[in-house]
Order: sequence, then C-alpha cells, then structure tokens
Amino acid sequence: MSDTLKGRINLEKAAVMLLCPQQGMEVLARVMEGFGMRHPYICHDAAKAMEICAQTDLDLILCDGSLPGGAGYDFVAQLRRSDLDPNRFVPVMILQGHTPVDQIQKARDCGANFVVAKPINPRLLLERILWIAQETRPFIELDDYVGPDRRFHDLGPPGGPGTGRRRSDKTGSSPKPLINAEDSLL
Amino acid sequence: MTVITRRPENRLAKAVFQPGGKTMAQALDDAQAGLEEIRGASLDILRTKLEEIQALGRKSEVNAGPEEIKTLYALSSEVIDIAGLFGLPELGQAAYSLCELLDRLGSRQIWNWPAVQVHLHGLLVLADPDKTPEDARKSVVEGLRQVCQRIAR
Repeated sequence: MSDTLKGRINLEKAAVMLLCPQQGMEVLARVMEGFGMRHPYICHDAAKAMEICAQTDLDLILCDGSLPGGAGYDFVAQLRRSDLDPNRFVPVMILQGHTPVDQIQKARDCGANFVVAKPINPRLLLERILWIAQETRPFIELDDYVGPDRRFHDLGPPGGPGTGRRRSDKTGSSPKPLINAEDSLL
Repeated sequence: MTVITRRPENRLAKAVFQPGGKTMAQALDDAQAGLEEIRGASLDILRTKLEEIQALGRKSEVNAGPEEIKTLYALSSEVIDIAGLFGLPELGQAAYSLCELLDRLGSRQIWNWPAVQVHLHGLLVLADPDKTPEDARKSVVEGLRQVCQRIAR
C-alpha cells in the first residue's frame, strides 16, 4: 500500500471537532487518532458543538449527519450564519450512512464542504481531508445560503481529473493529487 | 439579491502540511490498527442493534407509526456504520436497503410489512456470513434492493 501514497499528513496540532452520536464516536475517533489527531474536541449534540465553536478556533469539523432531527445539518447552517470568526469558515465534512438524494442536497445546502458516505473508509476519509486542505473554493454568502461555493463540479474529484463518476468531472483541473489517481476509490 | 464572496484562510491546510506528522501510508495503517482494537466491542454492538431491529420489527407487523419507523431507521443506520467496517459488507448493504425502504415508507406515510419482513429475514441471514456462500449473500442483497425499488418514493 505504502508505495502508492505520497506525502505526509500532520494533524498533531490541528484542532478537530468530532460531532457524532455516542454510538459512532469510537469508530470515528479511532480513525482520526490513527491519522495523527491528538486533541479532538468531542461532542454529541449541536448545543455543545456550538459552545466549543465559541471558545476554540477550529481547523476541521467532522459532523455525523445522523444526529436526531437533522441536528447536524442545522448546526452547520447555524455556524455558517454566526459571527464566530474564523470558525464560521471552518471546513465541515458530513458523514452519512444512508445517503438518499434529499439528504445529500440538505448537506450541500447547509454549507458543508463535503459529504462522505459511511461506513467510514479510512482511505477515502483521508483523501477527503487532504482534498479539503487543498481546496480553494470561495465562501459565498447569500440570503438563503452561506458556505463554500456549491458550483465546484469542474474541479474534479480528489485523485485528479479522469477518475470521477460524472463525465463533467473529467474536464476540469484539480489540486495536485496527493494520492495516485489509479488508487482513488471513487 | 446581494452576493458576498470571501476567500478565508484555509486553516486546515496550514495545519496538515506542517513538517512532521506521518506518512499517509502510516496514517492509514494506524487507523486500521485502531479499528482492529475495537472490532470485538463493535461487533457486540452490532449484534445488539440487530436484535433490537428484529424485536421492533416483529412488534410492527400490523402497523408502524412514525416513531417506530424512525427508530428502525436509526438502528439500521447504525448497522451500516459498523457492518461494512468489520468484514460484513452485505449486511451493511442490507441495512442500507432497509433504511431506503423505511425512508420511502415514512415519506409516503404507508406501511408495508412484507417488504420490511423480508429485510428482517435478510439481515438474519447476512449476519452470519459463514453459513451462506458469497454468491447467495449477494443475491439476497440484490433481492432486497429490488423489493425496495418497488416502493415508489
């Protein structure tokens, strides 16, 4: 496996918040600790998550979409519309088990950067984290939307052009891949 | 309509590309090792969730209200989270199909016990993969998917 991967990742000092129900937290925390995360901010509900956001400058939020009542999506939308600088701009990844189209649209429209389907695949999750770290999408504020520019299909998926699921993915340019395109799981 | 465009600093980039850390291969190996440490406990949780699904499913034979559907959906979703990670991909796919079915039933406010029942049976079969050849397991998943597709969104 190692000869197909490039570069290094350093999450030792990254401030990462994990917002996840109790049941799924162990898996997520273990994977992120494996990636080198040292000091996670762990919470199980949106109120606590917002409290953490008010107290700490974060570098990444991983939010489980299965929180009761869609609380994860509401939290992201609330954070994006808050005055909590710099956290309202922080990259947010939503993790979702069942992914019907309406849930994906909800994740996109609440202002998340990415949706990752569960079960968590460590390799895919790492790719997405690296992708978010490299992305240059502007942040858009509209009456009915606040978050990263949703029009980004031309950038192509992580792993570089030519590996996407949609024909249109193949036409754009993407940030330099840190993982070889032929190993992309897309 | 006013559109404000900003280009905030990517704080994640500053953090993850600092010197030091670990190679990506090492990061993946360490993540997998961390998962292995919780394999036993996770499979115990999985078994509990499956029992809860079966129990609640049996109670819902005649009808199920929004709360029962929501609870079954949440339990199935937790099966998705765990099964595929620990060598039970078909079980995870069956749980996904049950989530899809419950989502369709819930959004239309209808109940279809035979469709749910066949999913419960499927979960039982797929929870013990050693007793069922891979081809048969895949057929079960495909059958469940087809049952689900017959319920319009």
